[in-house]
Amino acid sequence: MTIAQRTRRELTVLAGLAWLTLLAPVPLSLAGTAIIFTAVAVSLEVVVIGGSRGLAVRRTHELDEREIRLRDLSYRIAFRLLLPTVVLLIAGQAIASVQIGQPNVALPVLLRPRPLVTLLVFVLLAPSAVVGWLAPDAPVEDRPPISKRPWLLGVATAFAGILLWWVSIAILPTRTTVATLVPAGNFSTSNATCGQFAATQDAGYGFVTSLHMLMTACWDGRSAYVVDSPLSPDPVRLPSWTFPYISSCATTGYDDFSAFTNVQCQASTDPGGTLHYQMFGELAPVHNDGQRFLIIHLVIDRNGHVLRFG
Amino acid sequence: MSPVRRLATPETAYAGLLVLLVLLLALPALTRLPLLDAYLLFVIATVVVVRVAPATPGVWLGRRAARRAVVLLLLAACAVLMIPAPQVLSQSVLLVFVVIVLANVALGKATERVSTAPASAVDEREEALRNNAHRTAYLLLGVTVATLLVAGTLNLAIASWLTESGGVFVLFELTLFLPAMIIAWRSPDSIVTDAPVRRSLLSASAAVMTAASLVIPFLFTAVLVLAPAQVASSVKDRSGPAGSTCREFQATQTVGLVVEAQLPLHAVVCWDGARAYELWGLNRSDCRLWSNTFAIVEPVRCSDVTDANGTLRFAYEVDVRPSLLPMLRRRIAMHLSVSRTGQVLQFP
Repeated sequence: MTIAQRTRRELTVLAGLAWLTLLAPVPLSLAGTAIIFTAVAVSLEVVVIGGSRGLAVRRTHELDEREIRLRDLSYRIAFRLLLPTVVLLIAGQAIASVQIGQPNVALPVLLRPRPLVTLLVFVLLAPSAVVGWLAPDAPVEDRPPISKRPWLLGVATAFAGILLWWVSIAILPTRTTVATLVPAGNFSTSNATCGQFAATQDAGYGFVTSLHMLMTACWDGRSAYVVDSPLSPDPVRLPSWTFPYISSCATTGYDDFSAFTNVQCQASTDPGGTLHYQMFGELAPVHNDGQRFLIIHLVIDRNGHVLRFG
Repeated sequence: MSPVRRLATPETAYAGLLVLLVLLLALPALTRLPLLDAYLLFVIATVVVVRVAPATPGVWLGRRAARRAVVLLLLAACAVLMIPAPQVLSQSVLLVFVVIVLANVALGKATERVSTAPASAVDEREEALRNNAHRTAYLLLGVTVATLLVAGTLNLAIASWLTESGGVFVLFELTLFLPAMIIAWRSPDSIVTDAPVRRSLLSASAAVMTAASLVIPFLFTAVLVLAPAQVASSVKDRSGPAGSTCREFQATQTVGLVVEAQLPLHAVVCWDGARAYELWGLNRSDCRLWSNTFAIVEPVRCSDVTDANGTLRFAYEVDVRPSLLPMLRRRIAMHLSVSRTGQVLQFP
């Protein structure tokens, strides 16, 4: 082994702590810092893999009998740790869904990236981590000269991962999904027709961060307006406990791999009674450094025709 | 090895935690149905007895072909749970679970539970066999899960499929049993000896309790389909509009035990000599107030008419199907007919 067992164990503990931050359901959002914890966990474990000569990922014919035994035992231990990891991830998701709640209008959403990245990091690295933990130091006379290769490999992996994430968030095109519910489920007024409109704009492939719009609008033949919003020129005021998910101007709450700053919604009704609604936010691939502008438009005329949505 | 040591494995602890989680989720039903509590306790006791009883494959499960058939059956059942059609799943899910439980018990016997045995209970060859099986299982499961999850972050249809199908249950099943499946698949035919097989009391108890655990849900299903409905009803005088006389009708029809459905009716009907009419409780929305446990209820008829003689006739019919055997069904009907003079012609 090219790195001493003690050092391998210390690196594994550090990688484990970074990974546990991703696994923990609290805080609900890591505000764009999840990529740092992921890069730390992966790069440290890559150092451990290099430091244990990649025992966990080598083919059987490249290993002697003792090494095969150690490798297979490591996989068994990693397999046993897989189930509690999955249970903790599911429990975390349940907690997150209770905190965030679900709107009336159904909008298909992609899987949340943080638990998935957490599971992927575990699946890819757990056997190597166990090998690195268990493998004894080679006798002094058999030790190869100290090599910087594992460390360089770790740094290169971290850089490659961060580059992949940055391209995904900052360069690749965004995707928008919309859903409408007319009339608006359990919400109605006596003198107007109402509809609920939901849209999600996703940035980042694999490291998805979403702008999530939920808006209830009504129209009465004279004008269209937003319900339960201070932005509305003539808002219909309702107690929030009656209809908790009528209109919201926020992100999905899952801003783990990048964070939005300056999320705003604007509504205006033109002289013809057409409602122009916009939700926008600046996406910060690096926290607090706005880099990309995401925007969702919704235009509804006074008769309820949707002229633009997306 | 002592029975307690046979139980003390990480897999048993994980399975126990999962059972606790499921019980916690099912708490509302458990507090309502004491018979269901008793059955679940019996199932847990059965699992413990099966787990501590020595497992031997016997002649039949000693054959490689039979073991492979069990593995294929388990994989097929998991595939059914992954069908992206909620209505197919909800109608056959309990039957699939029964198949999975049976196949898991057979798998344990076929492999002598080598994959989860404590280290002190296996020899060097078995240790190498199970470690290698875990490696294969890890690679198979890891590649599959990683591929699906990455696809789920990129594609909406795959994301919906993963969240709406029984993916989580399949993941639990494979995480607990995939190494055993691989051992069962790889192991050669057992050497069959002519020596008589001696069955211990524990083994016999395990067999009987397993059979009982599996038969009891079918008995509950039979009760739902065959046993007469239990009816409770009451009629009370009520005040109503001027010139009318009113009565409050309350009835409940219950079919089944544990696997059960309940149909309520609660209405006030008035009459004034010219006609009988509903004050409240006989609307379409009142035909959707049933409750059901491990049963599927489908409304068939909900009608409220006043005929030429002024008689009010309300009929509310549903088909009830047990979730375990959804091809069976029975019809329950609730009727209320009141003449214009207040004579109750039919109730319930």
